[in-house]
Amino acid sequence: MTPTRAEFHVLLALLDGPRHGYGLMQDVEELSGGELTIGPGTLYTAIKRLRASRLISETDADAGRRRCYKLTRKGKSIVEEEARRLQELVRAARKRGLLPSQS
Amino acid sequence: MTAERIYAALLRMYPAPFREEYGGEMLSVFRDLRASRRSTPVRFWSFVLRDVFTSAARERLEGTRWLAAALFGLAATVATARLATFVYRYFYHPYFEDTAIRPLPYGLLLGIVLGLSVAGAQWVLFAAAERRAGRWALVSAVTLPVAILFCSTAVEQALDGLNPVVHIHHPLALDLLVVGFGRPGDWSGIAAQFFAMAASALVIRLAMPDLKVRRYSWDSGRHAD
Repeated sequence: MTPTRAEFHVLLALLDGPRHGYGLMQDVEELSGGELTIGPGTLYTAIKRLRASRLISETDADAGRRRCYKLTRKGKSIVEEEARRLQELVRAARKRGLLPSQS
Repeated sequence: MTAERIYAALLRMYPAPFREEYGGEMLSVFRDLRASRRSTPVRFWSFVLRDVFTSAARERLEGTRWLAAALFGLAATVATARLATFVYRYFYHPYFEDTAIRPLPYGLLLGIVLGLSVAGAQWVLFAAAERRAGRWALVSAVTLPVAILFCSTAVEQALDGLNPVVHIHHPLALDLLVVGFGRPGDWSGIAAQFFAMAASALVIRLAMPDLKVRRYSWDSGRHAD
């Protein structure tokens, strides 16, 4: 499964541990350096798809009784795979002079 | 009307099962988002509306994907069956004339073949979008032979050995199905129809390169909840 941009960011955010919906929205914004701001609709359609693919699962509710989500083992392997794919893309872009090469 | 009420009304744009599963949480997140907003009300609401419209449209489309797949599958199957019938007639050999079968076994066999092939096509196609594709296919496999035997004028015409195209007065769904597939007159015609449907299911599967990925999602999803 190739995650969308929002889904990839949700998976990345969950690498640090379980999160509730609003926490995920904040983390996604922070991880993307403010470039990606997702609303509740985008967030929960992504959560639905990720749950259906067993990349995340629901975990115990937090103190505020909000539903929390955590990364599954499969989710971790998918997010690693996607990160490696992006790394290869960046390497290819550097090779062709699209991005400055690493010093 | 408060902002929360407006958002609750907007949630109606999502399909009911999605709303039941996530509507409460979305409202709670909206509440948090509104409490911590750093932008003007106009910017905030334009962000919220854009988010609702795009994600609800995507979710609705996701829900009807199986219908598009089924219609595409049916059209492809009919086209392939018609082509197979044409090829069969083109290469017709008198040897097959003696292989004609009696109406009742013919009707039953046609029903079983239709049931199995439609169920096979459904299993291949619906698995891409439906979590219960197997059950759906099983129901088709059982009901189609029964329907072919006991329902509608098309079946009677088929059992009587008449051409359903000529005698159709009420274009029921089953009639259209029979017209679309063409009526094979003997064992080899039925076999040709079966292979046509199987071939079309295979072609559809090959023509949908992301099917494997989506199947993976479905396979995984059936244990998700």
